[in-house]
Parts: sequence; C-alpha cells; structure tokens
Amino acid sequence: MRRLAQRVKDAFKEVIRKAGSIAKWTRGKKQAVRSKIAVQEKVTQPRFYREPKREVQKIDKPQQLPTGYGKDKIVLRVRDPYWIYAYWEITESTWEKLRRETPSLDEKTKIILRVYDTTDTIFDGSNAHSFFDIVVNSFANNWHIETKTPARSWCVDLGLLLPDNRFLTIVRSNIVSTPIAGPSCINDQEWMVTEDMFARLYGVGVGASPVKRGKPIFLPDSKQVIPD
Amino acid sequence: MNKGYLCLILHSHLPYVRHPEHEKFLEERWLYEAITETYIPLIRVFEGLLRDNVDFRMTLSLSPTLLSMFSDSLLQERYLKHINNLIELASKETERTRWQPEFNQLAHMYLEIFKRAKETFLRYQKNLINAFKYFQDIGNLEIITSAATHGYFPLMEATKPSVRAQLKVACQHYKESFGRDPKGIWLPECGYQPGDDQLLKDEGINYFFVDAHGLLHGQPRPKYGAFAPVYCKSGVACFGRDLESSKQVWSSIEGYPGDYFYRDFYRDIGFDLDLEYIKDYIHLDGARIATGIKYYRITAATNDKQVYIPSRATDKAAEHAGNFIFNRQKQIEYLYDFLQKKPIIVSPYDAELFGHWWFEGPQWLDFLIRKLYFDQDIIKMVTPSEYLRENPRHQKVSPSFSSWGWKGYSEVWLQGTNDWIYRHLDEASERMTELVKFHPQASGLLKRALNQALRELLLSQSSDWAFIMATGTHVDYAVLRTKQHLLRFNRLFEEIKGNSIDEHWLSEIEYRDNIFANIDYRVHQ
Repeated sequence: MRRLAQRVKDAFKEVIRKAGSIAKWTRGKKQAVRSKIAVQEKVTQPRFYREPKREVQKIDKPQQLPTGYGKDKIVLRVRDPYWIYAYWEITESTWEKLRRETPSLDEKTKIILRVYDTTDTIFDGSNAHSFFDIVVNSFANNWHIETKTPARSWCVDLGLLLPDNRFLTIVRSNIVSTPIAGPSCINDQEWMVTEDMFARLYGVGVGASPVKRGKPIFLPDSKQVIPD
Repeated sequence: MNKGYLCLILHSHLPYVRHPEHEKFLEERWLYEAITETYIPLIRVFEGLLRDNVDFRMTLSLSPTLLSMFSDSLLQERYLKHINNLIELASKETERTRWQPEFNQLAHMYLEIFKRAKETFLRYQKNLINAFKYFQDIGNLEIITSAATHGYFPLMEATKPSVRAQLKVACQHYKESFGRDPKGIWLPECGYQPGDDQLLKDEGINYFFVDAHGLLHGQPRPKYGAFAPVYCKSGVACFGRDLESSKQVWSSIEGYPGDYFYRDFYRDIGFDLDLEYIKDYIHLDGARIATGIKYYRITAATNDKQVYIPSRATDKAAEHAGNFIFNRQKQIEYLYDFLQKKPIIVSPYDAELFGHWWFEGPQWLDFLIRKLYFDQDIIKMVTPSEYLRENPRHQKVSPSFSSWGWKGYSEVWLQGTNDWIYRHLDEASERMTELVKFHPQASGLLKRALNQALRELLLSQSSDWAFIMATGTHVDYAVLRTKQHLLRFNRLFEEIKGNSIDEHWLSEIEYRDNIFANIDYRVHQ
C-alpha cells in the first residue's frame, strides 16, 4: 500500500515536472495537466477495488476506436428501397484549406448534402436527372437519407452552399442503387406469366411478407403502383 | 402421386464466443445451451430415423464459426464440464422434488436429457462435426456453408474483397471439416446483393436462397413466383423462401411454438430457486441466469404458469406435424394445378429455434419426417442439389436485393444503434486490401501477423454484433467485440506497416482469436 502511495506521488511529481517545463500557463494546459493526473489515478485505482467483473481488454492497450482516419471521404450504403445512409469524414486540414481559399465563406455558408439521382447515367457532376439538398451541421458525420423513389441510383456530394448560392463540392460519394419495391414490369418472352397468374403468385408469396407494404395494384399497362 | 417438393433447411449459426481468458464466460453458454438443446437433439432425431430406416432429406447450413467451436478442444472440455454440472444439478433436483411427483417426473426427464447429451457428445469424440458429416456421407443430410463469420453481404457492397474473403475462408473451412466442397450456401440473414452470385460462382457454389420478395421482385418476372428456383446471370441457382410455411412455424402468435401446452422458455429454476441452492450452477458472480431446467408450460398469456406435462406436449408436436403436412399438401395441390408443374416449397428456419426456444421442435421435426415418409406421397422431401438434378431447366432471373430481416432489407443492421460501425469496418477492410497488396508473399512472423489481421477483420464483421446492438440485449458485449477486433486489427496494421511486430502480443491474440487455423491472408483481394 505504501509503495503504491509512493508511486502515485512520484507520478504526480512527474506530471508536475513536465507541466512546469511549459513556460506559459494557460487554462487549457492546466486542464491537460489535471486530466493527466486523473489518468494516472485511474491507472492505479483498480487495485483498491475488487477486480472488475470482466476485464477482457487486459492484453490490449486501453484505447478507443479513432474518431477519424485522416481521409476526406463520403460513403453511401443502401438501407432499403426508400432510404440510403451516408457517413463521411473531412479532415481538419481540408477545412482549413477551404477557409483559406474561399473568400466568400462566412457564417451564412451552409454545409449540405446534395443528393443526385444518377439513374442510368455515367455521372459527371452535371448530368443528374435531379437533385435535392439536405442541410447538415459541422458536427454531423453521418445521415440517414430518405430518397423516396425506389429503384434509382444515387450519388451524394458533401459540400458548401455559399451565400451567393454557388455549390462547392468537398467530397463525392460512391454510387449506389436502391432496389425495386414491387414486382418488375418486365416479362420474359419465353417464360411469360400472365398478369392474373402473377398477381396470384405474388399474393401467395407476399401474403405474410416481412415487407410491410400493401399488395401491389396491377394496372392494365403493366405499371404497378405500390400504395403506401 | 407426388405433386411437389418440400425443402427443409435448418440454418445453424452462433457467433464465435470463445474466451480462454476466463474460466467461465457468460456468452460461451450460448454454445453450450445450443449443443444440449438443439444440436444434440437434432443428431438424435437423425439417428432415430436412420435406425428405423426412414430415408429422409434435409438441408443443414452450419456456419464456419459454429463448426470452429465444435472442433475447438478448449470449448469441448468446457462443454463437458458444463454438462457434468447440469447432470449434478438435475440429480439434486430429483432429490429436492422427491415429494412433488409432477416436478419429480420432469427432474428425471432433464437428468435423462443431460445424460444422453453427454453420451452423444462423447460418442462423437466430443466433436459434433463427426456426427453431421456422417449423416451427410450416407446421403440424408446436405450440409451447406455460410459466410466465414456470418458477415452481412448487402452492407459490404463497398468492400468486395471482404466478401470474397468471407466466401473463400468459408469454403476452405468447409472442405477441411467435411472432406468435400460445399454445393450451396446460406447467405447470412438471407442477405442478397445483386451481383454477389458471381462471387459464389467463383467459389464453385451452385445455389443460394433469398427471401420470397428477392425472387418476386426479380427481373424479369419469375414465372413460377417463389415456387421454383431461377438461374442468376452467373448460372448459380437461387431458391426463394416460402412465407406461408415459415409463418406457421416462426410466428410467435399464429406459430406452433406458442401453443399453451408447450414448455415455457422463460421460467427457469435459475431464477426461481433460492440463491444458496442454485449458486454453483449460475454465473460466477452470482448473476441469475437460465440453467436449462424449466418446469412450466406456456399455459396462457399469464405469469401464473402451470406445470409442464411432457406427454401432452408430445401429442401437440405430433398434431402440429400433421397440421403442417396437411397445409403443405393443400398448398402443393393448389400450386400443382395452378402452375402445371411440381412446386418446391422452401422452408428455412434458424436451427436454434428447435429445442432451444421451441423445446418440442426436434420432436415435431421427427414426427414431420416420419409422417412424410410413411403416411403420404404427395410431398417429396428434397435437397436443393437433388432437386436441381431432377429439374435442370429454369428461367433466368436477376433476384432483387433483399434479406429475411425485419422489413425485408437492411434496416436491422443499419440503424441509429449500429450505424457507427461501418466507417470502421470499411476502413479496416481497405487497410487489409492494402496490406495484401504490399505483401504478396509474406513468410514467418510477418505472415502470422497478416493472417491474424484477417482473422480479426473477419471476426469484427459478424452480422451478430450489429444485430445484437439493434435488439438491445447483450449490447455491451456486441460493442466490446466489435471494438476489440477492430482495435486488434488496427494495431496489427500499424505494426505491420511500421515493421515492428510485437511477437509476444501476437502470440497472445493468436491464442485468443484462434479461429481458422489455416487461414491465408491473401484471400482478401
């Protein structure tokens, strides 16, 4: 016990010594020293308590997953026919560069996700069928996006909407395709199936489906409508 | 006259829960309970059928993580301890309940079950792979594989090298376990991402399954709905799950397992008896957990449970098996007239439903198979391979993205509770690809580190972790496992890049995360 107390004392001294070498005391640095001491205390603490129930991490250095990996990127995932998910990371240096190089950037500038419908195109940034914007804040690093229309391809730019309405792309995502939300309109020549027969098969098949949507209404021209 | 086929599939999977660092570890019990309550009862059903010359057909998927635990000597020894402990407890129970005949009968039933489990376990040299392999080799079972650690493919779309690694490691492990290549695969969570069929083809896999809407929303429209397989572009066959038969077994409301005469899952002596009496049979720190000895029947939607009567439950299981067959016959006759073709009804279930959740499930299966075999000829039991041999011609259709999870897509594994994992999983996957590129021919310590990096990556990709986070029980454990494997991976990555591999630490994590002894890191590309 005494040895332990001595070690804590020594550790404390060590922290103070290191802190002392910092010429100028600032509030932030004091905080840093305090937290260092707190860490020291935490390291020695468990000895005073009974063993934690589950110390699985013992052999691993105690650490958390990194908050970022130092890459500018945005990645899309498909959740279902109506929703996609985006996560992103913009490094601090990229933000700084943007601040430096964009004179018109001010507090009115918005960080937005621009969601492009790129279905059946080779997307070049300007040939999307349509797009919509979602305003996000600088603390967000992921977003669940409701795309509403199934069976489309989507690409998302994370960028800045400047006060003069110009859009500045920071990063562009991969392209994903959402699935169809009902049966296909395409019928096979060789394996033709009549509307009536397929409607019955679909009813038999989807009657107990986990897909919580209404049964499709079959229209004469083969275009189906899925009621909400 | 035979008018259609029934393809029963049991998907058996548990995440890799092996914790040598602790003498007793709560989550390891998932495996022990499933061995006693599901896998061994299933094996005993198969043995009984064989003894009585019932030529049955069933498809069983055994996930590589589960197979790895079956063959792990540490877990084998621990299971023996576990079952011995249960035998001891059940013996005590036969004493304690001596003057309560209705409970005493049940205590003897459990004692018998546990003794039989031990006997079966030892008879297969403590390795249940031996049992399943036997039934495959004599032609009754078709064992298929699943992804190496049950990674959910639709959410790995951006990291295909990991999908390839999940498949290659799984196939390699299957071959080591069963001495042949797998013919089919159960895609984890029935999750199909269009295009993945080609990756299956690359591994020599002939067929997989999707949920009904995966086929029904396929393009072009499938002529026979979900009642015949289709060929994907790659030529791999895709079967669709039948929802009607699924619901009859699965549904907690309309399904068989909810019958009031069946045994109640939740009432367990681990919670009911005095702590002093039960303390040696529950968790080390005195936390109350289920022991497996349960004396009550479901009774009704009430907490006032009545005592379980095995003979009544057995009658129910027989009745339900009869009902299932009756419904399948009606379904098949209707479809046969309607389609002018023999339909195939594909009925997949989680194996752990049988015996673990639904205590009478193995009995039901036993009655079902016997009745199908002896009492009727409308339905023929079939394995997918057998069916494809008999019926080689099928429509070409591209199935749609789908899963058998809640709402039919990926929401279970991608929602507020678990979406944070994907940035880390993606990064780790990209890093692994980078390592493989930089070290095409590693040897010695470097090779060990690279192989271990792939083990950690695969373990972090188990769909179980995201699933558990979404369901809200055991969340801490799922978060811990995700982080732990990713942190170990990241450290290996740094050490490999910095040419500073800590051999002592590497040995330690090789010992702890010892899955897939013969893994080759180069499959990740």
